[in-house]
Amino acid sequence: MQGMRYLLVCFCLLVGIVKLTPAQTGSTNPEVDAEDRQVLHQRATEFRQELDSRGLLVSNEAWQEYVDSVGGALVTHLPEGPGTWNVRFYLIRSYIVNAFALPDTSVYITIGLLSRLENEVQLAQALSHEISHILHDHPFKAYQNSRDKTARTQILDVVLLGTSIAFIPLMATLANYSREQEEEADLTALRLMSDAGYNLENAYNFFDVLSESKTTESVKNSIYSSHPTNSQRREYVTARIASGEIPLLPDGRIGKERYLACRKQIALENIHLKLLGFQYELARDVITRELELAGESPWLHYYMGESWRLSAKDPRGAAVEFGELHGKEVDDELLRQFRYRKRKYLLRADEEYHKALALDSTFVLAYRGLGLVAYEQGKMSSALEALSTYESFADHIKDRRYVEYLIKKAGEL
Amino acid sequence: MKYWPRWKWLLSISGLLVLSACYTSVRMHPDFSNARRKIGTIALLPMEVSQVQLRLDGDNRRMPDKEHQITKLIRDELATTMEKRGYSLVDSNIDSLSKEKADIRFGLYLLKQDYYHATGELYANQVSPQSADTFRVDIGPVVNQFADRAQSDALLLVSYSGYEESSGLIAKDIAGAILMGAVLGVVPTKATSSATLQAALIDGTTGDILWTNIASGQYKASQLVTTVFSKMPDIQGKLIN
Repeated sequence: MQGMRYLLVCFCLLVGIVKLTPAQTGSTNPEVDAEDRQVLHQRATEFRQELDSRGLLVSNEAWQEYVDSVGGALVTHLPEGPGTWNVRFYLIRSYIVNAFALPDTSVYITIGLLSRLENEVQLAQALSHEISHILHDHPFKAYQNSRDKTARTQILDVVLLGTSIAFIPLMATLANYSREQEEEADLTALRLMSDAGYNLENAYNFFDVLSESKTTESVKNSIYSSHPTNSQRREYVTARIASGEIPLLPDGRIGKERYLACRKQIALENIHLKLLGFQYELARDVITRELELAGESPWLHYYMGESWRLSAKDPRGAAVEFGELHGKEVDDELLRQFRYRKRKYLLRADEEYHKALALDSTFVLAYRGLGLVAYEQGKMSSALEALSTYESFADHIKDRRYVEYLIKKAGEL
Repeated sequence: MKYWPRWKWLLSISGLLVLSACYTSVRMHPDFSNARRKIGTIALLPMEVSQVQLRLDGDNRRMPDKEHQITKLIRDELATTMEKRGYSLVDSNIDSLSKEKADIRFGLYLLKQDYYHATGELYANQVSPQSADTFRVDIGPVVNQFADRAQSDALLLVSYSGYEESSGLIAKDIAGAILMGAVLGVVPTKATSSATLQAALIDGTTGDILWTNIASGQYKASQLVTTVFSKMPDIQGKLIN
C-alpha cells in the first residue's frame, strides 16, 4: 500500500515538475537561445572580472603579444574570413595545466599549460582546439545540455528521496564536452594549423605532453589532464593525419626557438606559482627538468631551496601533496614522517641556496633563504648575517618588516 | 507523525549541548594574550562576500546587489564590535589601490589562499575551549605589504558566503519532503538559506594567526558577526557580548 502511494506521488511530482519547467528541457526556441546567449556573455564577463579582481590575469606584455600573435594568425583562417571573429586570448596566472574557451569568444590558457609545451606547434594546437570549440558553438551547446541534465537530475533527486546519489556521476560528465565535440574540435584544429602553415608531422606529441600532467596540477575531467581520453584523442589525430586528408606540411613552421625564448621565463613563473600553491614536490620535478633542459641557473637553485624550505615549514601541506600524488592516505603516520624530515629538508634547502650563490654571489634572495633556514635551525649568528645581507642588498623588499623582526629576534637570542 | 517520547528529545538536545560545549571553533595563537595589548590598529582587508541563488536548473547566480548590502552590514557591525572590545579598526585602503595594481590584487589573493591553506592545520582536529589557544600557525610575510600600506599592527580578514534557494528549488524541496513524509511518516525540513562567516586576526609582522573563528547557519550577516566575535577576547582578555 505504501509502495503504491510512493509510486503515485513520484508520478505526480515528475509530471508536475516537468510541466513547471518547460524551458529546462532543451530549447529550439530562438528567443530562449538569445536569452541564454545573453546570460552566457554576462557570465563570461563576470568570470574575467573575477580573475582580474584577484590579479590572476597575466600582465606580461611579451607573453601576451606572443600568444596573441599565434592565436591571431589561426583566427584569420576561420571559415568566415578575416575580421569576422573577434577572439581574445588571456593568460591565467596558475600552475594548473588547462585551457578553455568561453561563449563570448574568449580563450584562456594557463601558465601551467604554456610551460609544459615544447614548441609553437603545440601552443597553436592548444589554441586552435579552443578556437574550434568557439567555431562550432560548443560552449553554448554544453551550457544548454548541462542545464537540461541538471534539471532532470533535480527531478530524479526528488524520486531518490533527496539523497543526491544521482548527482555524483552526472556532475562528472557536466564538466566535459562530448567525445564527438572534442574530436570535431581536434579535427578543425588540425585544419586551422595546416592553413596557418604549421608542420603537423608530430601533432600527436601534444597528447603525450598532456599525459605527463600530474593529478594535482590538473582540473578533474579536463581534456588537459592525464585523462584516459588523451590516448583516444591521440589515436584519432594520428588516424586523421595518416588518412592524408590534411596537408602535413613537413617544411612548415615548428617555431621551437621562438617558443623556447619565451618559455624560459614562463617556466620560472610556473615554478613560482607551484610553490605559492603548496606544490613543493611538483616544483622540484619541474626544476629538475628545467636544469636538464636549460642548464644551471641561480633562479632554479633558489627555487629548489625554497621547495625544501617550504616543505620543512609546512609538513602538512607537503604530506597532503604527497598523498594526492602517490595515492596515499594523509594520516597521522604520514604527517609524523613529514614532520620528522624537517631537519633533512632544511639542510637540502641550505645546499641549494649556496649553489645559487656560487653561480651568482649577488643573488640576494638566496641570502634570504639562508637566513630563514638558519633561523629555523637555531643558528642565530648565521641567520643574523644572512638576513642582514639580504636586507642591505635589496632596496624594495616586500617583507622588510618580517626580516627586521627576525634580525631583532636573532640578535636577542 | 510518529510519536517520539519527550525524554528522547530532551536527551538529544542535552547531548547536542554537551557536544557544543566540548568543542570550539575558535583557534588562538598562544601569544595572543600578550600580543593583543600591543595591537594599536587593525586594518580590515577587502572582504570576500559571496551570496548565491541556488536554482532548480543548476544555473546558480551570484547576487551582486545583495553582496553590496551584506558587505556594508558586516562593515558597520564590525566597526561597533571591535570598538566594543577596545580595538581600533581602520580601513586597509587597499581596495582603491588594488583597482590599479594587479600585483596588489594578486598579493591579496595569495594572502587569502595562504589563510585557507592554514585552516587545514587549524581545523585538522576538534579541540576543547581549554586547548583553543595552542595553535602556532602563521602565513608568513605575505601580510607585510598590506600592514605597511595601512600602517597597522594587525590585519582582519573576513569572508562571508551565503546562499538562498530560488522559488523553484524551494518547491522541489517541499515536494521531496512531502514524498518522504508519505513514505516514512516523518517530514524533514531543509534550510532554504544559510550563510557562513569566517574571520581571522593576523599579525601584520609575522603573519601569525592570532585568533580565528567561524560560524554558520540561517542568520543575518550582522548576527553572524556577533556570533563569531562573541568569542574574541577584548583588549583586557575578557569575553563580552
